[in-house]
Amino acid sequence: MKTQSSDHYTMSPFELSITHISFTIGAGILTLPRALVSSLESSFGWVSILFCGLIMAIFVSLIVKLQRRLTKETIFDYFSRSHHLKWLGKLFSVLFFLYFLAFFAIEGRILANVVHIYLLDQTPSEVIFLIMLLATTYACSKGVEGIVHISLIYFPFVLLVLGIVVLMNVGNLNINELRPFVATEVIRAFDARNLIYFFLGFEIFFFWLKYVNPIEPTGKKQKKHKPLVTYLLGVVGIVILYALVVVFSFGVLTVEATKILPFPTIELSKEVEVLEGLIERLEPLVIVMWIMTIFNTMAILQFIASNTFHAQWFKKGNANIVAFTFGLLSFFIAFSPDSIPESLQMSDWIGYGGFSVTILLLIVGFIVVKKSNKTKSGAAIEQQPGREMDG
Amino acid sequence: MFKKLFKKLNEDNVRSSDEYDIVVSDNLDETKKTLDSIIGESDDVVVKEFKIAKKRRAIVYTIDGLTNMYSLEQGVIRPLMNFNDDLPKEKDDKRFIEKVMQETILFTEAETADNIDDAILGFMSGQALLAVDGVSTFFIIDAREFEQRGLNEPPSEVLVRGPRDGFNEVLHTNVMLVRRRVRDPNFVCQFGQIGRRSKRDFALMYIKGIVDPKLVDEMRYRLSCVDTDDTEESGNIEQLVEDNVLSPFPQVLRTERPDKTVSSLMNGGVAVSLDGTPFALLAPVTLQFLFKSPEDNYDRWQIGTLVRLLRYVAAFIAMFLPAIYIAMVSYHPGMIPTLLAVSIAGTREGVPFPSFIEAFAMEFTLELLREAGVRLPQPIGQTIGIVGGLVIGDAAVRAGIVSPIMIIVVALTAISSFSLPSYNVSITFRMLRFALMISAAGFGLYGIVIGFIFMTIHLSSLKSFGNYYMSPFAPIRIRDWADLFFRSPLSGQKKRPQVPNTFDDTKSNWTK
Repeated sequence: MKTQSSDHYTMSPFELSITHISFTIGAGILTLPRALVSSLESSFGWVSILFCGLIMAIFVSLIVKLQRRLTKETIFDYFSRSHHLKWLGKLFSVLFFLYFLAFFAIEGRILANVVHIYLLDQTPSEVIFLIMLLATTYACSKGVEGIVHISLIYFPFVLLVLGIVVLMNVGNLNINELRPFVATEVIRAFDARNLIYFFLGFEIFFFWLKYVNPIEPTGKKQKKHKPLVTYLLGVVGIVILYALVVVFSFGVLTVEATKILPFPTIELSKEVEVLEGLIERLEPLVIVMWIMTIFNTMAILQFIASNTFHAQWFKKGNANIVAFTFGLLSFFIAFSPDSIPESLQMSDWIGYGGFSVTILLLIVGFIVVKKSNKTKSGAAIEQQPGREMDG
Repeated sequence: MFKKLFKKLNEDNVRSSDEYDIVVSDNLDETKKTLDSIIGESDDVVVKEFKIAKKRRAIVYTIDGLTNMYSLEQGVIRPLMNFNDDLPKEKDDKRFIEKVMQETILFTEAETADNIDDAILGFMSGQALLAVDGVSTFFIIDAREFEQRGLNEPPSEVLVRGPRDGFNEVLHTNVMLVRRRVRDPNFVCQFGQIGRRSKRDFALMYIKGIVDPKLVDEMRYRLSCVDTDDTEESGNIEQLVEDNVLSPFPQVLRTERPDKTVSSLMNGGVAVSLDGTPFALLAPVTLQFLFKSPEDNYDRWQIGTLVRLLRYVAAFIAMFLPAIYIAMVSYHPGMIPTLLAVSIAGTREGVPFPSFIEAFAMEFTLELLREAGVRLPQPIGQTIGIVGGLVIGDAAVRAGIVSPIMIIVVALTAISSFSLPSYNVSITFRMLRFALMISAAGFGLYGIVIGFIFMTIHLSSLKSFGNYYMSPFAPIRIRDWADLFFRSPLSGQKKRPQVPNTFDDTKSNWTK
């Protein structure tokens, strides 16, 4: 990891917001409609998505608020800088390492399975996983700017795929399938426990907010805008994308079918028939583009986990070795569940785990940073003149 | 015995500088001896002795073919010989030099050199060296004139609409071509020498007030780090100053066109022109520049936009089409529409090879034909085209070695790869095509995606002189999107592009 070049790297809030969207929308969107149906058994899921989006927005604004106190460093930098808090940094880096490791393994497992089912039925999914591992490990060697740029390059593909899947299915949409629009089990819709996994991704703000610089590198001042609004718009974007996919998979595939299909979103692309004559089946193309998004999510996971772990435990060692070890471990975790349903079950637990770790870090952050601000009055925190950190 | 032979062979090796018997004196015979020991070995050195005002001896050294003898004689030697005023006293150096410089040599450029290093450097680049008895200073007279190619239209960058002149091999001509287009006093052109032995002149050009001073400093620093005997071509400099040696993508753009150079300078770039080659180097370069041609701006914006979109499609085809063909035929036949799949299967029926071998063989043949066509003289080159097109293409299909679809794929890739604005860009895409074909043969569409992912990872952190190669895609520079896929009307482009960074970003001040 090119720490020396990443030190001076800055990105705009818009770029971070797009990275957040690409990070959150990973393999999850392939199975999201089914997860919704299995907990609700009706098409009332859009309320749950809205609710989750709201929670996500709250968390994002809390993290941004925390970051305001830290200015130019992450909470992990803060931990490692003070003597009696070092253990906290080490603890949380391990927790995040494990959480991201499991997350990574699931994403990779789903990817390997999807490719195995729809693209390469002769190739074992282990090989598919290992090749992807090669790509993500290579991506980790490129540092923060590399990973962020990859997200920016792939983001149009995400929109393109969803655009194709949604727009081309407008004709197939059966509004009647969406009824009842507001079902009786309103309270159950707020039980979003097994949706957490799909909305996790705002942890990225813990790690990368310090790179955000609302002033352009040229020194020219950008138009005044609140970075937080940009981040929240990103959250809205995620909610809209999710809602579109859910509404269309219910409307096109029917609620009953969504419940049994392994990957409803891919099945949705199978329904597209507009391009007939040019391409017989669209879903390989859609999968191909999803591979890029899943790769993107996996690369971010691997990079953040190994980079944080490396910074907290062996600062002098080579970060690429940590990333490589991360990859090896993930391979064994990914293939320890026997089947895809088992892995998906695991994803619920990852959701709970990740959520708890994030909340814990947020709480600890608010307690610790506030306290030391009082005692140290932020003496060590340097603030560059002219370069205000607004979030 | 061998040792002896070896010693003998090595006897005639290069003299180190302290072996020269350097004497700078006011005695002409000693000076002559010194100069003869340094440059007298070459037969193209012309030595001419004459007498100033029939009294004082003088000697002039020139290199045959680099000096205009007529203007040297008319402008320098004859006035000196007719120097009939009172000749200064023997020891009065200063007055003599003054008189020669100000009253005798008028129309020819001349300067004086006190030490032999300066004198020899000027002499080796073609200037005449004049030594006068009784004066320990050399006169360097610039009466250079040598053969040069005309300013023909550059063969590697042909435009339909646009100026027809191109750079040639003479540095001063090239700088003149740029200077004639930019009459801004802020246009700076600095000369320097590169190469330990060859001491070739190069010119660093930029426009003060537009270019980021850091970029100029960086370029200057990198050029000064070049320490090699000779940079035969600007391509050598390009390879020595680029950021990432392992990258297949060009990080410095080369051009033979003065108009392209000027437009790069106007957008905050620097240009380096080297003596002895028509190719100037433009830096920095990002991915989008590979798809831009000066013509986009000369034609109306609709044409510019469509042609540019065409180039992006061409680049995609040049890189991905054979790989996609391989993936479709051998892994995902279900993706092809039924009728097409049937016809492909029908044409492939007699073909004994798997699609990868088929595609690889044909692409290889194509590259062979291209290379042969480039190397051969013009009339035979056409023959190669006929041999390639008719004999190999048609005969290979008839013999059942390849399928007709494969020929179409190969032809399409070839045409696409040559429709990119400059030749070295298409080489990049052609190289990557083979890598993608191999990964497609191994893992089908998944392999292509992985190949693409590896490419984007590489590009995402690649930089050219401090500018991210993928900008304005990543990092996002929204303003530059006005001149990316879509070439917006010129009246809409009031600002310079954000990449490279510029000092003054207003290009035009249009008020409605």
